[in-house]
Amino acid sequence: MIRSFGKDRHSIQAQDDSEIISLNQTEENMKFVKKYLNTKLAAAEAAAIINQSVQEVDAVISTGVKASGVITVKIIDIQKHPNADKLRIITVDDGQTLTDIATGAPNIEVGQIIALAKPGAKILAVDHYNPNFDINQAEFMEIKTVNLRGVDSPGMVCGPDELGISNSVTSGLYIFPQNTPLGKKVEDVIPTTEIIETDDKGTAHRPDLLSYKGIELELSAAQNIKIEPKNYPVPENKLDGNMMVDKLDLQLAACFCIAKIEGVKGIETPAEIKQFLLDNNVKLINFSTDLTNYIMLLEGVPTHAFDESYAANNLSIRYAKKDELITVLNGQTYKLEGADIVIANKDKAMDIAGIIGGAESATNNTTNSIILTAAAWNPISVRKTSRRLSVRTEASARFERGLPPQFVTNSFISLVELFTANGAKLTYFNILSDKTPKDDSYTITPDLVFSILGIRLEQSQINRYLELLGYNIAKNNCVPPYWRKDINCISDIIEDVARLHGYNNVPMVIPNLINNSAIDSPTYTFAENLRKFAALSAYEVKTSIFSNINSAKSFEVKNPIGNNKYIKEDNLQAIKLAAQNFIHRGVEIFSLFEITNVYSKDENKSNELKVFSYASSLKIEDAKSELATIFHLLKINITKVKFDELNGEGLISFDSTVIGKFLNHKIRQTEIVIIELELEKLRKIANNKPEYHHYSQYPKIKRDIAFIAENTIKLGDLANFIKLKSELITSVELFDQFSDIKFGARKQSLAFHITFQSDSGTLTDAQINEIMAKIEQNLTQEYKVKIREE
Amino acid sequence: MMDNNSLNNLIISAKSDLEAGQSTYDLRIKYLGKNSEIFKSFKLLPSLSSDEKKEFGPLLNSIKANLELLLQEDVKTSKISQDYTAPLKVHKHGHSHPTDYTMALMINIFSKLGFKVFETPEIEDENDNFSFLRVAKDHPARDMQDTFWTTDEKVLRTQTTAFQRRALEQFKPPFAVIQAGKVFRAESEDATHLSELNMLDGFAIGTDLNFTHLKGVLYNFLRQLFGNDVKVRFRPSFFPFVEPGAEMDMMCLKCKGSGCKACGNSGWLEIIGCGITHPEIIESAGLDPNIYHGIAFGIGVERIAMRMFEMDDIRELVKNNPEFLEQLT
Ligand SMILES: [Zn+2]
Repeated sequence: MIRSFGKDRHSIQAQDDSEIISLNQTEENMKFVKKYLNTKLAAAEAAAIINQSVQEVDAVISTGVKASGVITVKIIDIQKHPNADKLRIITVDDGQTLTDIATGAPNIEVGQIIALAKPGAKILAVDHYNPNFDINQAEFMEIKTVNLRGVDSPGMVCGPDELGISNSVTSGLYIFPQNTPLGKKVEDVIPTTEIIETDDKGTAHRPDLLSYKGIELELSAAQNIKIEPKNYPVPENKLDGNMMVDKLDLQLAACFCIAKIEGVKGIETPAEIKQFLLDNNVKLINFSTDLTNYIMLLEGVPTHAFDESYAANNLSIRYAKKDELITVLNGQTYKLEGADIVIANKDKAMDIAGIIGGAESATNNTTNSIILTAAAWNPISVRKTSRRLSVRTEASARFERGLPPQFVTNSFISLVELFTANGAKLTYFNILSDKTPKDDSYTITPDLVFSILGIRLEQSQINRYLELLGYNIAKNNCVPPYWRKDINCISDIIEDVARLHGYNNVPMVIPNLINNSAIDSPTYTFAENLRKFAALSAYEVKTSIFSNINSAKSFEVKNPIGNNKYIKEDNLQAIKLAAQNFIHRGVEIFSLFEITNVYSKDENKSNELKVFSYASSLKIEDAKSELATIFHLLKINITKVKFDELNGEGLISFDSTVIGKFLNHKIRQTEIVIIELELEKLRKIANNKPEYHHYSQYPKIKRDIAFIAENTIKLGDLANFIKLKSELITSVELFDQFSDIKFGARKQSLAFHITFQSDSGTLTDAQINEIMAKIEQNLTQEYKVKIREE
Repeated sequence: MMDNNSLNNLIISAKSDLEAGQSTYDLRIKYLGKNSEIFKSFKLLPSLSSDEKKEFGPLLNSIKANLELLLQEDVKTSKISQDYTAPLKVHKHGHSHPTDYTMALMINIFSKLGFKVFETPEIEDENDNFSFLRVAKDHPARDMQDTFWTTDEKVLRTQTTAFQRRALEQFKPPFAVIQAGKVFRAESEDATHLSELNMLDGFAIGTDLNFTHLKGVLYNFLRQLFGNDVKVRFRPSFFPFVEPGAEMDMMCLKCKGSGCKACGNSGWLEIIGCGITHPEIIESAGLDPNIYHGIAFGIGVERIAMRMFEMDDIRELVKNNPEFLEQLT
């Protein structure tokens, strides 16, 4: 069970039968039948208190009748329907009057007592013909007298689904026991069971909460009612010397309890225990098993009963032998490993400790003597074995939380008492337990409480809260109760105080965090600016960290979910897939971006690099100007940014530093340019501090130059070439470019604006003409262009 | 003297003037008016030799026609654009991703409360993600079915809480830091779960921080995000790195607490896990837990986004569908 902030569920392996019983409670959550919680509160009130001061409550379920105006009636006659083969007319008696009702129900016999909804009654409208019908979505419908194929039918006989007491759609009628009085409201005849379903994910440290006793104590404490702890008088040890474990390996279990009980055959399980088990959805099996199930639910301690004939001699607890086989109660045979713990007789394993018992040594109706065992199993071992074998049971769920030894021994004693109180005979009894003394006394004061909770409580108030939870108190000293293995420091105790005081009774105060020694990450601030600017013209996308591309530097994931088991070293492929998605969705003009990490490793050193990833279906020059706008907003000097291209891909640099790369990719008919820039490098060249530059007071003069050139010519180089011809040139800008067959093959016409300006005076035509002439001459020589003369 | 090139250049320079934003009215005067080159050339035409007439006559006509076209077209479009009653149309534009938009909003709120952004790696040592946060060596959370492990035993962090160790190493108390970023869970995705998602964690250490402050910060955060009338409640919860631990619920905005589908009929939404930093964590950073106390909280970013935008399937947030991305932000 993961517990991290922001995690709201945990996964559990496929469930299996419980150790001793097959029941519904092996789901993640406990279901408490409210009437066994010993409280006067309504289920909803009790649930609210548990939710607010103990643990999350997932649901309050009421299994009672939801329909209203439905009464019990007896079928006294059944006739064929005159006009319909599938319908019958039944005459029913409510104790006073007889009524004829048409029904299509299959399971009817004269003498049955059934439920009749009379006109005005409200029942759930269930669609029996729709296999996907969700009973939880059923709405109420009001019954009216209807005419069914020519026969008036003043009412309707109901199934359990229509009464609202079934979790699934059923085709038959609800049949009452024969002694049910007639004419009674069904809600008075069918008892309501209210169930509080707790969400156990947050209490993996609290084994006591998987029991009625545990929840009952917490529920009472929250209402300022103290439950006095039960006294557990230990039966006298009865040892016959030859039978049982005499030394305890604490690696296996913190305690081990053994009892031999004789004469269980033929003893009937007490009626109230039977009812308790039935209400908890537990199958009745036999006296011994019923009692162990009862104690497990009531007190939270699973125990196991062996047939004495298998277990009596040389009983031991030990690690399994490698490849040792055991066939267990659910019929499966498992191969064990050396780290698994078993209870064994002198020949073989009889029980996978804390998880599930063996089939052979199980008790049955002919068993007369049993060996009863309980242990505080090593929780880690139980969990590992349970996961490896994919067997999760009621028992393993509890042992995984780690049962404190005294919790186990006390419960074992009360179980043995239950056996003897019902007429069985205790002939052997032995408890082996960890005797290491535990120093678990804590000092708790109002100041300590204030330092954590920020509220002032009196010592007496603190003590009262802790007493209610079972702590032993002397002045400001307290000892946690033995069942609370989760209390290990003063903060744990303060949480108990806070829970009973009520988290919602703690005021809310905004702290002063001005003296914060941390400073905002400059990378974050920059990335956030970049993100905002990029989102002005491009869609922000989110891609996966996983990739199917690898190199020597890639991280590889041991347990990928899909086929992509590597971690991306760049975002090129990921953003390409996003672009592909846009094209498949019929969007042709788009730009995308993502700010994401890419990852690689060198000699086990991991490198995480933040990149700005961009993809665009625009023409390259438009994509570049989109990028240039972003750069401009980030105060990156775009005149220093250079693209070096070869065969549709290349590097992007700023001055002489490479800051990223680009490539071309064709998806269907659309050319995509994909660009990736390193964020830290961008941040370093982004000059966030505006600087004042001296500028000339004299006018700018603009001249144009046009010429025919090879169409392979690099425009960036060309502009730079022109600019270097004179210090007086302040900018060179391409403003026209086109090809025409009249220029010759692979030729184009180019035209540039050239701007001149001097710091020392207004430039004369003569000065500029001179420079222009030089440019024309140099272009003709170096680039073999043909100047288009004026 | 007339020449081909200078006449041809007229079109180029008219184009560039247009691009420079000069009005077509002015340009028509400049290129087609009484003092224009073309007008003067037409006037010169009768004085040319017949060979020259044959050469320049058609050229002048073609250039004039081209100029007319160039400057005429613009007149037309500029007329259309002066129709002030035309419906509004957006220029090519982009969209923040709803997740990142939400994340930025959240960080902004915590920044105003004094938290500073502190970023740490996404591929972490197991110690930072687990051991340091008191997730024991044998804890099921570390299993392969919950956590992605790399072949060299690193963890794709399962929680941004993993930043606590580095924060304690880097800053001297008092400090208050936040981080929002990617976390990973090795589980299958459905309408409410993603295997790659985002979380925001907050962490502050000081000498006078306590539970009242934790509540104050988080209540203030939700009020700023969802409005002043949000209702909250705190209840006990367990996280290994805090004690006491709490879950903060917000009253369902849709049904105002009466219960609906969005809140699973409970009327409340579980929204923030939080608590007081466990004393062992303070201690393992070399600080005295009797003097220093911390507050910590973690919030699922996608979960907040889903509330803000009233979405019902979290997977929309990772599909990169343009129809979705252009809806919200
Ligand atoms: Zn709701």
